[in-house]
Amino acid sequence: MNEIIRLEHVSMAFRMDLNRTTSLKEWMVTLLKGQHRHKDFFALNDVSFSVQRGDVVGLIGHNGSGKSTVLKIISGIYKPTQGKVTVDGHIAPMLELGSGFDYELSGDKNIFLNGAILGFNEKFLQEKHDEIVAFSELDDFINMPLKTYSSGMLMRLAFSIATIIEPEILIVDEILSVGDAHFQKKSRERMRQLMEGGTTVLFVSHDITEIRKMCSSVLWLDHGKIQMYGDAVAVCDAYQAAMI
Amino acid sequence: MATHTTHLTRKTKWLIYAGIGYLLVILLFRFLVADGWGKKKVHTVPVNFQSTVGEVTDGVPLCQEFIATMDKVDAVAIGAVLIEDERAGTLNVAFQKQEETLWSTDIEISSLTDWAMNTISVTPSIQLERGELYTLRLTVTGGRVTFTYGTTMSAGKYDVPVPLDGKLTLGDTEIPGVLITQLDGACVYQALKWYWPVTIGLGLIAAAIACYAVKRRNSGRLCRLNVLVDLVLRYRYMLKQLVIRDFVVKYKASFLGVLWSFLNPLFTMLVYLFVFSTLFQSSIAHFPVYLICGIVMFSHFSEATALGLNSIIANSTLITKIYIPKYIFPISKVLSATINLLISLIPLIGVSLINGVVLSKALLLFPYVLVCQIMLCTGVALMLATSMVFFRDTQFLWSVVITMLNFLTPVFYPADIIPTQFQTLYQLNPMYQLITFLRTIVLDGVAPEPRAFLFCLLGGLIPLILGFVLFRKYQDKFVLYL
Repeated sequence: MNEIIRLEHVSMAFRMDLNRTTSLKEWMVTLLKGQHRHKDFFALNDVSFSVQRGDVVGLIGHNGSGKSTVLKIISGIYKPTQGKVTVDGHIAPMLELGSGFDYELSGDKNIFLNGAILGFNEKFLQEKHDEIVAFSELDDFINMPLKTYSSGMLMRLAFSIATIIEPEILIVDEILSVGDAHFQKKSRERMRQLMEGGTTVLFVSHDITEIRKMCSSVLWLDHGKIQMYGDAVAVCDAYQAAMI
Repeated sequence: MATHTTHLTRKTKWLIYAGIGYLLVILLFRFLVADGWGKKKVHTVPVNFQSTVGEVTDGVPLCQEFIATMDKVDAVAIGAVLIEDERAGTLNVAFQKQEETLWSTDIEISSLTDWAMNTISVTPSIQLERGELYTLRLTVTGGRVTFTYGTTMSAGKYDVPVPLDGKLTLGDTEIPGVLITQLDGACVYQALKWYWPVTIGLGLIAAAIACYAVKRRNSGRLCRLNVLVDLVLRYRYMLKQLVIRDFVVKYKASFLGVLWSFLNPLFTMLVYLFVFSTLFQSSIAHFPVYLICGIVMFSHFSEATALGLNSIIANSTLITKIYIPKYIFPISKVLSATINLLISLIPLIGVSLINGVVLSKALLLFPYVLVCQIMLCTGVALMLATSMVFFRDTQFLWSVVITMLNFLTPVFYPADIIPTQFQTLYQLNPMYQLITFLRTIVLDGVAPEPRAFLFCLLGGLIPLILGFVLFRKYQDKFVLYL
């Protein structure tokens, strides 16, 4: 088996400034008064685990347990305060769909803009362009500026761009409910295809039945610490038992 | 294996292209700078008339000490005043270094023109050493003549005092002023002598580094340069998309669209022209061209830095959601401002042609000043963007600084109205160097002196390095403060 993601003793501290200063004046004043105090809040505390290639890992835990922080650390958005992260493969971040959109431009131009931001190259996007448009079912709307789109249309376009490739690692933060019932079904199908295609998936959900259905293993986080990590069924059983 | 081989030949092909490109660039550059870096004709500016030195008695020498600003003197002009139309006698003009006479000649006083600058050609021309003290000695034998001196110099509409670098003495009496003279000569630069060794040396070093990088790539153990190249290749499409996006969106809702990119500098020029024409026009040739050169460069600087300042904050939604090298945001803003700069070259050239400025091949040196300008703007944008994340006051502070810089840079006034004692400090402003460089290639149509190239390069490189170091140090913390 080969490891694709490895976290070793990772801690992530957020500084909670007791007097949060964003202006130079305030900063100088607090510095001079010697009140430059802050408290560290550990969103993750000494977390170590590894993911094998092809695993579908579900992340569970109550709000604020550090699930999103783990995903952001793996994506490289956060640099951990302590510890080491090793990722060996191309990551498709799906933390928030469509964050790179420009609402003045047409859907068509946004395919290239958003695609570029997600790290795809020009040739690839030109090849996949028709496929993206077809999957999003936007038809003629693709040439309209994004500001005229409904939120459902936006999400459909964003989902179509983000899932067009088969990335080595796919990171999903509760995005499965996209668009209407028809498109939701389609997007679920697409996700299942990706997972079966050998992509490593990290995936956050509060829906335990979905986790049981889709994941091979589950990571249960509690207050920034690993409560349990292992076989999906076992962890889900323990989690549900603890919840009652 | 087949794909591997084609990949390798493609890389080699690119290296060969880069090598040929470099050779062409250094050849063209050598051709363009030939006039500016070889020998350059220069002359000193005479001071304004204040008074005469009084009658110069027979045999009493009038000596003016001066610090040489040129390497070679070809002619000297002296303001002479004859007394009571007496035209007898001779005037001896001599250049001395300490007690040693370098050159001297006798001229008939009758050949002098009263109340005018009398040019005396110095043949063979004399060699001076820049920065050294020399003496111009005038001695009258058997005649009556006097000379003029002054203490001020015209700069714009005003007269400014001239520094008294050397003493003016008549016999033993010291006269508080500077003799009205003008030296014509040339500066000779040594830079061309080193041109080929330096450029070829740099080329060889670059080639060696490239070969090393290719070798490391093929062996699979990547070095820093490989990683950098990968990063650039991987994100260049994103950069391109961001730049295009900025440019398209900027004018999308406007009626005239891209036309604004060249109407803007034109309108600004007209306003300045209207306001300042009476004040400075007399002293500046082709004032509209002088103005538009300054305006185009300064507005680019101010636009690029203002956009760069906000670039990290404005993209906070992206930065907190997706991993992207954060450098890309300030850089893309500077580049999209640069597209504007390139478009505004059209009105610049138009105004020059209308004003009768003869455009020469020196204009091809524009890419040099453009690269320096981009480096400067990127460096400043990186620093400002970093500062902005932690202190939102930066934006307000910067708008004050930009206004200040607009006055501290010779955009709409001649640089020489700044008093001499502040000139060194004044010229530390990189925008001064860049704008002066552009004006030299547009207005004078010659390559600037070697020093100007160096100062422009440093003016871009130093801020760029500082900007990168600062940005790199703090970029991991950005996401926590957005």
